[in-house]
Amino acid sequence: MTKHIRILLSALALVSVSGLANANQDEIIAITGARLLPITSEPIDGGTIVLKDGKIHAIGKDINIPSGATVIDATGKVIMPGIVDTHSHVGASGDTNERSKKLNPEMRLLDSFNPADPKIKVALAGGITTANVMPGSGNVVGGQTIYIKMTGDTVDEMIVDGSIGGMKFANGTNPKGDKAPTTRMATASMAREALYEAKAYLEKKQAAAKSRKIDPPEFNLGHEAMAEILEGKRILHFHSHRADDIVTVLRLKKEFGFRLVIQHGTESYKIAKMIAGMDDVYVSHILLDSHGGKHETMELVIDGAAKLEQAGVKLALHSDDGVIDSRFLIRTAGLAMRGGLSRDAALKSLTIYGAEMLDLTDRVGSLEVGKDADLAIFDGDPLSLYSNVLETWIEGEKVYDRSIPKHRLFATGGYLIADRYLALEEDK
Amino acid sequence: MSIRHIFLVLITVFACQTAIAQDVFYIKANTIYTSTDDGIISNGVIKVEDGKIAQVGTNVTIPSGANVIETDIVTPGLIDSHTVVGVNGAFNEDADQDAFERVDSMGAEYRILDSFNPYESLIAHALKFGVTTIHVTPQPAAPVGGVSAIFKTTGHTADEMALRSEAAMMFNLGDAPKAYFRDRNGPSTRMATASLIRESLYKAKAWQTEDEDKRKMDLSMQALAKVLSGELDAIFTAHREHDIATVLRIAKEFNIKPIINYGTEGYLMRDTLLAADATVIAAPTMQRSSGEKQNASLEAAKLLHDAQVPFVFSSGYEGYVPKTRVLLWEIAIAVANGLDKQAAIDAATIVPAELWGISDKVGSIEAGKHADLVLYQGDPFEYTSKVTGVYIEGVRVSEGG
Repeated sequence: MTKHIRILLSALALVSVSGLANANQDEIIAITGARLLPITSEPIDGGTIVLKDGKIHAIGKDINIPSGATVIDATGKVIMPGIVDTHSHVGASGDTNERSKKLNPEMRLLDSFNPADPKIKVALAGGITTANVMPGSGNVVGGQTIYIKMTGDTVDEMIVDGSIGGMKFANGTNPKGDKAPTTRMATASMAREALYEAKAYLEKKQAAAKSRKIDPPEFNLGHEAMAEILEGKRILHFHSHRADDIVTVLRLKKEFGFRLVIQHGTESYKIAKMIAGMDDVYVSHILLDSHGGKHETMELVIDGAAKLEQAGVKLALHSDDGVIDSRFLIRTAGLAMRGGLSRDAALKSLTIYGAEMLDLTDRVGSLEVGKDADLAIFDGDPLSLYSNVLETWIEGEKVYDRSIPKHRLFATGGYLIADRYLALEEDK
Repeated sequence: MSIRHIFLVLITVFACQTAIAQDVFYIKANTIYTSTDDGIISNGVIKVEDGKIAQVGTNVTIPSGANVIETDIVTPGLIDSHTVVGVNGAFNEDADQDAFERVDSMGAEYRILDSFNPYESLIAHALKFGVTTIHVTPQPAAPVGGVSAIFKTTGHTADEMALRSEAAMMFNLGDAPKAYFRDRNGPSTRMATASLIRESLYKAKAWQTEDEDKRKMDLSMQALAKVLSGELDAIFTAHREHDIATVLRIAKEFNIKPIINYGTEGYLMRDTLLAADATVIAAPTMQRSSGEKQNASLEAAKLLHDAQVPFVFSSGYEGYVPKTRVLLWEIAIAVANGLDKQAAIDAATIVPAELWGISDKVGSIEAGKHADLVLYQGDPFEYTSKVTGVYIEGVRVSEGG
């Protein structure tokens, strides 16, 4: 890139950032008067939340507003933590399933991600601030997932600082194809073998670290990432629908001891007690509007999430964007309540439980002092049909504002023809 | 006893087992959305007799000892104006996909009636959330897809469930015909799709004028001729503005009333639609906004309503997961995005009943019509509300959900 173009681009980036953000790094912002849903503690009516350096500086009912703070009156509004989507393909559509081979632990979704995808702004309009963007389920080992914040000009700056992401595995229908695996037993076998190879690799590495007499193994990019799963540093996100497939995943977990998020878990409600009885297992669930579409989703039920809660399983709800449009993720929590999920669990399924599944509880998932100032501000109860996301904030900056007409189009649709769309309204 | 007698006895036994409609019962509700000029009735009563609505109002006398069902809210049974439930099964395998004859781009002679499976699980799913009448169409794929039908959502055979066994000829424009037929004999362009539709209608016009005794039996021509004579409605799938314009062009050429299926970008050309006397089978509000649906707007129904363009709601076609959308929830999102609540209910009850020519039987809560009723606890559209019961012709056919 020539220097001139680079300067021009930086200038453009500045313009676009300043267009969205209303805060610079040093500014202290106090949002007052709203009903605050901290998630990890009781709701606060007429509370104040103070944001500083991109973090939550203070939160409570009667707290001192630091002098010099910009005060924003949010009376009548409801503020919850930015939503955490534990399973998304936003920004990577069309580049999630590498078809040339079935075991791809060395591949990084990072390299497929396009930060210019407008669906990222659509997700912001849905109050989502953090997402686990994953490879698809077409492979036994799909690749490394990324944990991102939903704003930024490059993927590298969107990655949550210090996070290494997860690893995507899949079983059931999707990884089966014309080439191996063509059966569930082969799928499990390929996953097991890959884990054993990584285990042997890790043991060699560890042995070599202890003794100069032992040679380290030949460097292997895939094994390196898989070893992180075995060390408990990288969480395994395992796409699995049917109860028997989930049991296979749990069997693998017993063999290798990894930290596990069951992704989708359509029939997880059938074995909820078994899941609840194991350590470090979460269900990242999807609630679709109907069963079917394939065999393994025939027994999707609206009360599955409620049954998981009752058994003591921590669950998140996810979009699987574009299976569910990110804007409608929060809606699925409302529907899960229709199926009996408690309000408390519904809110946690969108926030703190998701943060736990991504190992990001020190950063996101609740309104607590020291956490990132990621907020979703509503004009009413977030779990009501009639409420809208008014604003979305990431690390102390307002990144979505429904009162700006062009922003609102990311909520309603029509953003690709913004000028024409907005002219329609002027017609009236 | 003759075979005919045995048959009659069997039919009677069958009918008794299936329709256990109590002769007379009453539904007492806080709110009744009638979809008639009476609008909303508060603290009203519906008297159901022999499967039909006998009376509705605030001064319906309930005799002592009568069977009374108390509920919060009642609406007429919902009408889904475009769905493939019953013909594209939930398993989504070749074995249960019967909405699209994929080797034939010109299928005017096909009747969806012959594909319809009353026991398909997605029908019960639609019923659970208040849909009592479905307009089932071929898959939006072939330029000429075949003839749709309108069914109730309960019953054992297609024929007994059908309100109209032949309702509308389905024509499809836009990306889908190209995608499916590009590698066969075409069409692979929009102009070819339009041309195929136009040509088939001209052929039917010619066939229509031939001497009835001399002309060849031709099921395809026969069906298309019914479109030209107005005996069959015509629906045209089109998402983009310019595809909708093509529909209007063809409809004008053959003097056909244009019913636009989806009409995703219709909100951009409301005056044109109004002038062309078009009706829109509105896209499911939450349809995926990609490809030719990229400009889908949650406000589309509201914008059409404000411009007085007639529209009806549909759950549409889904090819994967979820295998169908839920009509009630699609309407809900339109309401949340500015559509008047009464207009929303109308667009799933009386407006489609009139559009499809079945308003003598369904579409509103008024004396003489079928007792197709949906009971709710709480705002019908709210996520956390529940459908607490669904009646078709006075029979409680679902406990809701």
